[in-house]
Amino acid sequence: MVTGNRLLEVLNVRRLGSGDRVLVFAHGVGTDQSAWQRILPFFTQSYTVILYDLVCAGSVNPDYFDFHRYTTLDPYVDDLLSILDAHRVDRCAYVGHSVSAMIGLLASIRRPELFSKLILIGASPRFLNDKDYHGGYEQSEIEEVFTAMEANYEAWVQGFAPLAVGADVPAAVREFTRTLFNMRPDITLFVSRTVFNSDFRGILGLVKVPCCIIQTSKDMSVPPSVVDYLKTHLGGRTTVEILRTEGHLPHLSAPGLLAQVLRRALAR
Amino acid sequence: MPTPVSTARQCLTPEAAHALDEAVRVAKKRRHSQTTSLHAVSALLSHPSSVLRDACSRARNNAYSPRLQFKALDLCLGVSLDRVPSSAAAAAGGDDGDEASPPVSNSLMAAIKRSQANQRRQPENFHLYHHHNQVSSQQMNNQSTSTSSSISCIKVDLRNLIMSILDDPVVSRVFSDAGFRSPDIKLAVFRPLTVLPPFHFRPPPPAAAYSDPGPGRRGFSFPFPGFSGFFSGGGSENFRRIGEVLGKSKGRNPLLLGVCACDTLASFIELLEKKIRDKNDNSSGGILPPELSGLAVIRLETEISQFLNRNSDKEAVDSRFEEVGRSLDRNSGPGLVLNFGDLKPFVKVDEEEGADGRVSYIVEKLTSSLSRDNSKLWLIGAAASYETYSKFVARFPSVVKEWDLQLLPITTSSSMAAESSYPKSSLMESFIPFGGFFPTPADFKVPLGSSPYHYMATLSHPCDGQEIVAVSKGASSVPSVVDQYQSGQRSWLQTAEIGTAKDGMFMKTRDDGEVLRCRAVSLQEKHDSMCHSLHQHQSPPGSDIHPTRFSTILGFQLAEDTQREVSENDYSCCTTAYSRPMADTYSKPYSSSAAIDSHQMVRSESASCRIPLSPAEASNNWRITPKHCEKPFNEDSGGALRFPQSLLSNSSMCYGSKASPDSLTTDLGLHLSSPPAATGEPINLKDLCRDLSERVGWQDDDAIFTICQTISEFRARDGKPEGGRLRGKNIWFSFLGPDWHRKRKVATAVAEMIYGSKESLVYANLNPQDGNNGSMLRGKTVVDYVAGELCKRPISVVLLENVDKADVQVQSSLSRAIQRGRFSDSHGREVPINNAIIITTLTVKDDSTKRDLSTYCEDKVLKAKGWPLLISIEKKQLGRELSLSVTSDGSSSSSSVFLNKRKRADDNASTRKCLDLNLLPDQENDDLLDKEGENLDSDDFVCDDHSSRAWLQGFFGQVDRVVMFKPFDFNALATRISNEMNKCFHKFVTPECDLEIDQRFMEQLLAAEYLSDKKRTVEDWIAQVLGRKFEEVSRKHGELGCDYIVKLAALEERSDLEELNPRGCLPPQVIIN
Repeated sequence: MVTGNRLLEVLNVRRLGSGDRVLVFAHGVGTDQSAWQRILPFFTQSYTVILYDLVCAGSVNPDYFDFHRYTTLDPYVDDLLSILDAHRVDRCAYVGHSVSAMIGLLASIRRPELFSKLILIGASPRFLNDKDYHGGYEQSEIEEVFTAMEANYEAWVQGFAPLAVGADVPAAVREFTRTLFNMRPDITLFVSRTVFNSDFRGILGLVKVPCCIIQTSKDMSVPPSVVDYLKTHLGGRTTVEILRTEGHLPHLSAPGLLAQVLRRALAR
Repeated sequence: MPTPVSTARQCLTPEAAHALDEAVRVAKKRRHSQTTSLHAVSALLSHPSSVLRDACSRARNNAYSPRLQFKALDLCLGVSLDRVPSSAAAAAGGDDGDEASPPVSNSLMAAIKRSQANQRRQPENFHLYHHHNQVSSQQMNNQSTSTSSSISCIKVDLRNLIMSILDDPVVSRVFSDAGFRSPDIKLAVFRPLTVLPPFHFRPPPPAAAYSDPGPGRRGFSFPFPGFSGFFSGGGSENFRRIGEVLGKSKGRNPLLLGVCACDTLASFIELLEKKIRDKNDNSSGGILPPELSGLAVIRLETEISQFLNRNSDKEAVDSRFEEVGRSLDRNSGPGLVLNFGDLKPFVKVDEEEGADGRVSYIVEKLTSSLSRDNSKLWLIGAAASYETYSKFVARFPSVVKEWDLQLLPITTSSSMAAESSYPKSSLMESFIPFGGFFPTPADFKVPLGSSPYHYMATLSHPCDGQEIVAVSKGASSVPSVVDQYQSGQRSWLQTAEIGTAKDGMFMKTRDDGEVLRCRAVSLQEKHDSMCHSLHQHQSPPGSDIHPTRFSTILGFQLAEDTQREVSENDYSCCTTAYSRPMADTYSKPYSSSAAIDSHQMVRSESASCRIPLSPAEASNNWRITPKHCEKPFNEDSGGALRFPQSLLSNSSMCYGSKASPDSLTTDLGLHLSSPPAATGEPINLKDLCRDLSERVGWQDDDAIFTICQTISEFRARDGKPEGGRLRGKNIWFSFLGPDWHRKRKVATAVAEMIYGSKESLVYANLNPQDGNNGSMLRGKTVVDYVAGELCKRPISVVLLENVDKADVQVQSSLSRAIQRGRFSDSHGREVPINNAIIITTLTVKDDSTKRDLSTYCEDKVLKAKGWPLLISIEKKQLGRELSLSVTSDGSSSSSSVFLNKRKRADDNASTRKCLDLNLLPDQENDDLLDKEGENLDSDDFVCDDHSSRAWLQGFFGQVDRVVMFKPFDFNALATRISNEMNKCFHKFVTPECDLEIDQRFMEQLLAAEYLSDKKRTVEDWIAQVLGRKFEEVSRKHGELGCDYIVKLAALEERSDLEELNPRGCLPPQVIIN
């Protein structure tokens, strides 16, 4: 229990709002829990919201990032499940962005009874292209990105953030730049490699929890075909919501819109 | 009476005493007469790896960048230290001959005594610290290791000393000024980073079920303390999880699933074999549970796949399985792992030629060998995709249970991860955790006094070359910073320059950060106490660039956090902090001829900033001196606010922060109002009514009367709180009923009349489904948008449409606003709405008109588009149903009959009563709310309609006036238009010929008339455009007899032929067919 509490502290776990139903918000790489700030007011009245930072987030002391441990997404899943256990959550809805969407999938495979619903924002089971699969990236492109990241992290962040945000929302770009730059460069690189090495295609069928895929109309990281792939291969009842906005970070660039869709998806 | 340093030292552990010595040195350097807690903090912070600094970096507010916060801390500390009176006598002091050391002040001594007492009271706590210290010294190289030897000794150790010093009000104020919370820091001091027992091996007890990790199992235990890095990358983690499964009692046979599963399986088997080969290899120590070490492997995958592909016969397989049995008997270790490899051959063969028994034979064989010795034999396999697995399971449903399989999702390929994902340099971990990854020299300049390169060097010293490159790249503009040192600018200008040139990103951080930065900058400026030298540096034209660029990093936005940080005692300090950046922000960017202007402005402002504020104001307000706000406001809102300058010069503008309800500032915004109407003069009701109905363009009806009456009443009341509600002179309306456009028109007209311009209408559509809000909501929530607009134009009409669709955030914000007169945005910032008129609208759909297809209702008319219009001439056919025809004798068709009379009567009745929900709700109100309820029910978008509905009810109960709008009488308008058209038509064509008007056509004209601001738009159009065409028709076709009919229609279907007329519903041309 001691370690559980420490984990809560280290990962800045917060529990907000009051409500019978528990809702977990998990952020993606490059952001931290503050990314949900604009979404929260829509949910804190009717849900108990649990927020936490991934261990790779800039807001977590980088000393806790164990390069030997966080080599796959499974330890992240361990963290998530420990947090839920420490908060004595026995059932919750889970909203995960990007990598956290994948973490949520893995967690729901391990503990299906824990999750009533998964909401996947900007999720992709595999970023690299394959024979019959279009993930959006070639291995060589990825390597280039990594090289750029290593060469000058700041410049890379400056260039990457507007691309990722997509929509013309300077405030969102600023915010994403801030959180991305808060991450220690070596951790960003390491996590990015982990993410790009991950391949969830084989296991999607194991997910039996109902999922809702929320996708913007244009996302540089996730081509539309990926959404179809997810929908066909996920094992549970799956719905798709296309947001009328662009970019990989709708919770930053179009919080109001996303919140409405989230509410609708959660109500189902 | 100050205590001599030597006496104080006696109470301290060597380490703490060392800290005290440092503090004394600081005090001596500054020629202060006493060593205070501030000096101690300064000394403690100056060491880059000190306990306090470390604690701060962990306790800091995540909203700010660590660099900024540390900088702010250093500056605040510097300012506070400057205030400590220095004395010449100090040089002579030192009655104990301690080299003239400034004696320890009473407050610091009290802190030492407090910590002593604390320590004496809680020896077990002390013991704990002691232990932690040792641990942390091992793991973190934390310099704060306590060397105190015995528990009974009541020498104060450093940690306790820090705790007590943090209690000192002077110190906690410094920290809170810099945005830290003392309790957080204390907590962080108490809890050092790593509090693990030195050796905590990761492998869990084998009984722990895989599916239930449990909170206790996972901590931050580092699983492989001495891990060599050979099996780095995703592999080790995967292997560890396979090992976990093998170690379980149930579901112990892993089936790896995932695209990379087969690779992972192969490398895992390889690893096990390797381990068998050289027994001394400890590298798999973390992979297999200890009781399983020495696990042997038998590979069956090739044999099985050969057999299944008919490349071998039964005998080969049989012999292999016998071998398995034999080695199982021989095996003395924990057991055998049987690798059956990929599941794909099992399924593939199955597909090809049905079951010829081979697959089932293998499955049977495996099952039987497993049942032979359950405890010593494991199966392991892999499947690349879930589809393969599900096919296999469909074929052999009982196998999962018989084989006791445990699915293990594998998402990362071990080989890829191993080659690439290990960090290039393990020394990366030796980076100082926060404290600035990219060091900025100026940040720590004041107390630390280290040069930029010095600081960089200390950072990169332990790193390898690559990182030095990285660091220097990150700080690429350091040389330019140094250049500026030489140019002799004031230091605050340099900081600004650093901010712009180098920290492009920090300058773009969120507003809070910016505000923090302004504070930091101005504090530093204060610290240098160089107010007039600033002026000197602004005057030369060459240096203009600095203030200008400087201004870009200073946000006008006001973070209430920062306000809270302003300590009450710090008036002069906080005024400078705010007003200085303000002057720069607004003078430079907005005025082109600003050199002299801003010069004076700064001057006047620096004079005014010394005005002492009363404590309440200092803590609750942000004051902007008049000169500053005129420019930004005029520029910002595009002339929305035309304040007479004379008014402004006497007034002060204040933005309420999170003020307590009894804030003194609630009414201050009122003084800003410029047009006479807003200043509380009673307005003549009749004038108002006439004016409004003229502007709106409809005859004055009850709605308009009610609105005007309310406005004049409220204005006359002069903002006195009504019924105990703490709100200013704001007026809340709710416009109910149909007729969307007129509601908006009324709102615009009210804005024009009361506040003098159309611009003072803040408009937002609360229905997120409507695209009407367009680009203004980009990246913002509605609340933020409205709050932002209200900030710019505090006196305005706020029109919120579709209040029934408001999301939770808007709901709560509105509820608060109506009670307290302050509109809060999503960050909790509040904007006073004392002088605003807030109009919420709600469209109650009129179902009765919907049912009747032949009438014109608002929905249909609003949907009308600018299709091209067409005139066609046809022979009359008898018995055809006409949608709307106008006969030659001019007797208009019975269109007025279409109007639902009952409905109109209802509406009239309710309007006349001036629906006021403050009164007891009567029958109509119930009806009304029922209708809302229906609407909400029918709309799946608002998912929790019950709470929404309840809120709506409550909200309408608080609104000052509910105004009911009548439905717009489209049918009367249609009659008018058709009469007009008929008249026009028969000017040119004989009365025998009929004119038939398509309903779409009419809708289009109705929409044009309805949405237009001018009167007689359509009449003019008929006279000009249509008239000419009728003339053309009569010219072309000569006399049209009574058997002809002229049809007017909209070319809806043929939209591909021509673009939609973008200008609206009245096309400049009509096509003649």
